[in-house]
Amino acid sequence: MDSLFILLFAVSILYFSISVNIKRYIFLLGFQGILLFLIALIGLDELSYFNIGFIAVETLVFKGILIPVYLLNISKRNKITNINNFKNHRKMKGFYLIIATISVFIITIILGNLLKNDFIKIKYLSTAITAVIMGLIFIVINKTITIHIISFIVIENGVFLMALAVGNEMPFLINTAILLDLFVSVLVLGIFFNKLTYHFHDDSSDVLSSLKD
Amino acid sequence: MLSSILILICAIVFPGLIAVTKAKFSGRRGPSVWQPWYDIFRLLKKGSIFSTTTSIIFQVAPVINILVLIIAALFIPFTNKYAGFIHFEGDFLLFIYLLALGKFFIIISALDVGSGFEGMGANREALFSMLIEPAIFMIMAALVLLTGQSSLAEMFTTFNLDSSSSILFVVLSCYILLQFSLIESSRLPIDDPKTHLELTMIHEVMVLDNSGFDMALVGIGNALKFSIFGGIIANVVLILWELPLWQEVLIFILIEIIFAITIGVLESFRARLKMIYNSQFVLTISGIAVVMFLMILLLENHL
Amino acid sequence: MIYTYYLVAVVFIGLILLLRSKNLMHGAVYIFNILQIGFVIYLFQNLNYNKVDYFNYDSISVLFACILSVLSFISAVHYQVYEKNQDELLRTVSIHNAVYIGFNAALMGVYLSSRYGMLWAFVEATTLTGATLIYHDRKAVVLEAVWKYIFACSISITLAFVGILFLSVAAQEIHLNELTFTLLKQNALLMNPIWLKAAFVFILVGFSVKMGAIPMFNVDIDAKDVAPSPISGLFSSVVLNAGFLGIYRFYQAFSNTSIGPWMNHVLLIAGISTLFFAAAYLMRIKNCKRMYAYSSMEHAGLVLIALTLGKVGVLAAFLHLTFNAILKSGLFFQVGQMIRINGGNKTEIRGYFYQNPIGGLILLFGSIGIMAMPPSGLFISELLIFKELMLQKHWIIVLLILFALIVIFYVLLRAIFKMLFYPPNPNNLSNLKGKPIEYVLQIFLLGVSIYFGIFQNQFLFDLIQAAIK
Repeated sequence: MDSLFILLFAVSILYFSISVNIKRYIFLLGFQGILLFLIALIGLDELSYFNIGFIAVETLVFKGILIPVYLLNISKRNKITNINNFKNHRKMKGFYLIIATISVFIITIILGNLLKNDFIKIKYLSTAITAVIMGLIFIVINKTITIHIISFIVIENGVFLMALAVGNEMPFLINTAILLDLFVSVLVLGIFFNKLTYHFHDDSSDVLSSLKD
Repeated sequence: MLSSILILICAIVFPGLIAVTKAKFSGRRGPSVWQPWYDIFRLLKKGSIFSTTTSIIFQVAPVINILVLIIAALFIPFTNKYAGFIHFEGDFLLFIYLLALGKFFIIISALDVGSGFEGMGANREALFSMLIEPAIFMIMAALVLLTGQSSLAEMFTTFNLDSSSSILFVVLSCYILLQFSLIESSRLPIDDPKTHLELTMIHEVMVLDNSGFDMALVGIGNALKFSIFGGIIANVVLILWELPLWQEVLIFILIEIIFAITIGVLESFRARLKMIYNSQFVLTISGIAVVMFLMILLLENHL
Repeated sequence: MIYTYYLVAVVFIGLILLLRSKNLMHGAVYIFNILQIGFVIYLFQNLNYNKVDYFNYDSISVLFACILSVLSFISAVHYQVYEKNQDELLRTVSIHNAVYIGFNAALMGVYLSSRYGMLWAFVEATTLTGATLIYHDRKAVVLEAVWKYIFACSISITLAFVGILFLSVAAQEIHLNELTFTLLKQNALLMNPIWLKAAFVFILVGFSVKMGAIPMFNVDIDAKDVAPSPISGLFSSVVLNAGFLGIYRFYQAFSNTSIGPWMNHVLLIAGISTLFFAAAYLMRIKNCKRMYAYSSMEHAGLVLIALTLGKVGVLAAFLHLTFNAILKSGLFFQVGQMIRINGGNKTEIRGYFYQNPIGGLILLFGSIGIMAMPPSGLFISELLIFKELMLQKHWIIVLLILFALIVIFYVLLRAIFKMLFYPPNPNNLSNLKGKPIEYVLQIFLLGVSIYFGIFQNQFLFDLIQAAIK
């Protein structure tokens, strides 16, 4: 069953590529969180119950509920609805992003298969690397701070999935990945993103260009 | 043969069901289920008028379209019990290309007219067909991979739900086929059949110059196409269980009806996409199919 | 003992948050710093003691810890002057001082941790605390820099984590369940080189943001620009060391395996491009803080190049890091003083020598030192780098580095002479004077660097030699 959830995770990255509506992005984030929860439940059968419970709470509560709700509030407060409202938004972007996603997925699957070993699940790893790379690409090509945050959480999810891929042998890596999530959700989102949206009422990253040589 | 007959029967109620569902959801009383067929019969009684600039292609295209669709319907097997009327090794390729051939004739007949609007519509139709083509091929390829057979009938006979990749296939292929049929038959969110602005039309603008008998054929073709895809989905779902024949026939028809209602519901709650987003939406469906195929390839250790 | 250290840190953080007087707070920070120096002395006595589970007191970590303890104390003194001049709110000072102790503890953790997971978690903690330290002046431009710093740091730290995951894949293949540095080194030859290569690339990119090297240097420069000068000084010394350690731990473990030459190539490319980017950005520089920040970047590039040159190169790299930390932090402290005397102006400083002769002299000698001219200690390390490069007949690299260095020398000298000896800018006149304690500490740092430059201290050499054995 975990293959189905991983596949849905990959599909959600495809839908990230063509979304234009902030609500859609946030919905997809929550969807990914729930998928990660299901994947962790099925995939990590060798860990202790305490550890699995910890992971479950982290994925379901943090990734699935708290972060999306928080982002939804922020976007409502700042009236960020549609990334098309921003200048310099290229309309055909989604088309190329889909092609990029598929190419990255194909490449990672081929590479992963070349490096096949018994300790790592290729389906986890290739989907996770696709998420990481596509998250980086989303950050580079978008000019919206909210989308930057969302793309960053996509990267986080990818890294979490990757930690699950190697996690049965090394549970401390999963705990570290959880630490990373907490760090991001508390620091990046809670403190500074809040401050930033409070100070600069525009969501475009153009407002952040006063630092120069 | 059984499935072909069922598909033809379902095609009769299909357009009416969609229209009724949409009417109910928008709070209208709506037409009768048979209204589309009254229209078609009205058109069939009329003669055709051809523009003087058109050639023979324009005149034969609707006939060829309906013919290839009927032939394609003959390929569909009935679950794992009866093979299609025509079946041989590799017939799924011919099946896909028959669908494409019908579309091709409609496109060149639109170009044949020489009208600016129709050229535009043909252009869009060709683009979207090209972008969605990988999806159906990937589904077929995944099916070949999972069953090791290359004939539609054999595929459905040998397909089983033992491995996790087959579950994955059933779930995603149903979704992809639903979207595929929406795109192929020019419904929402790509194209709105109700629209009256030529600039935003895709399929409807291609048949602007068809009249009378030809127009009726085009309408029948659309209904038939839906019914064929519904038949495939019904087959994919039906092979999950072993049932007596009469139950399977009932469920087949039921799934076709549910399919029609689903389309109606989807159309009621959806708005047409902006033209600029159409191509990326279509490509996403193909992308999902590609990702699904790769994952199955990985799970079945064929890489 | 290390757990006691962390306990003390937590107690002091709590204490500072409770205190209601600025002087008491600073006093608490001083006491913590003195205790920290005591802790480092304890580390020296227990060198290579590895009975503690997650920590490891080898020579590198102790050397870096020593630099941290000294610089942290001096930076704290400068911060007191800084905040008194700015007349900050009690709350700001309280948060700053509490986080400052956390920052120290996090850096100490980076230096002393004995496995990759720990090191990574502590680097993450330095981001958390460091960002709070940068966000001292609550202005829009500072917020912008902090945001960029946090965002880029988070991404690169995530990438470093991906690298560690790849490393763990390689380790699992040979049934290694922990990523301690000693275990990695012992089993280095057995691991699959492809996973190691992937891991190295990600780790290099990930920790480059802390080191201020290619490819993630931009945000680091911004952070050093807007942070209070005492903090900028720490960022271009001890944080740079922490980033370097993240890369070096990997390099150390695997430099003798088949991927050693490949890693050298990657490091060489990274180092030279860092050097050239630093030179290119320096050409159009106006802001004096950014200028010194780019100079740190130049030294980061040189260190990466030095790392590829075998044992002598690694010795040179550590010497370079040590002297860069001492000199650069001292310079940043002096720059902070200069900016204060010039009324907060960073770009149009002229005739500082006439305003403040002692400060001008410190700036002059410090800048000459940072350009690696004798008698500064950096001269020795750069000499070693060039000697080794020539012995290994890397002539093109020598020429490239020389070219970049000459550009940097020219730009730095021109800017410094403008700052010091041009007629004073009438807009920037103020009656503020430097505090004697600042001069004493800055001259102390300068003196340490010159002392090591003239008298080759055997203790330091032995320490580094033991580290790279």
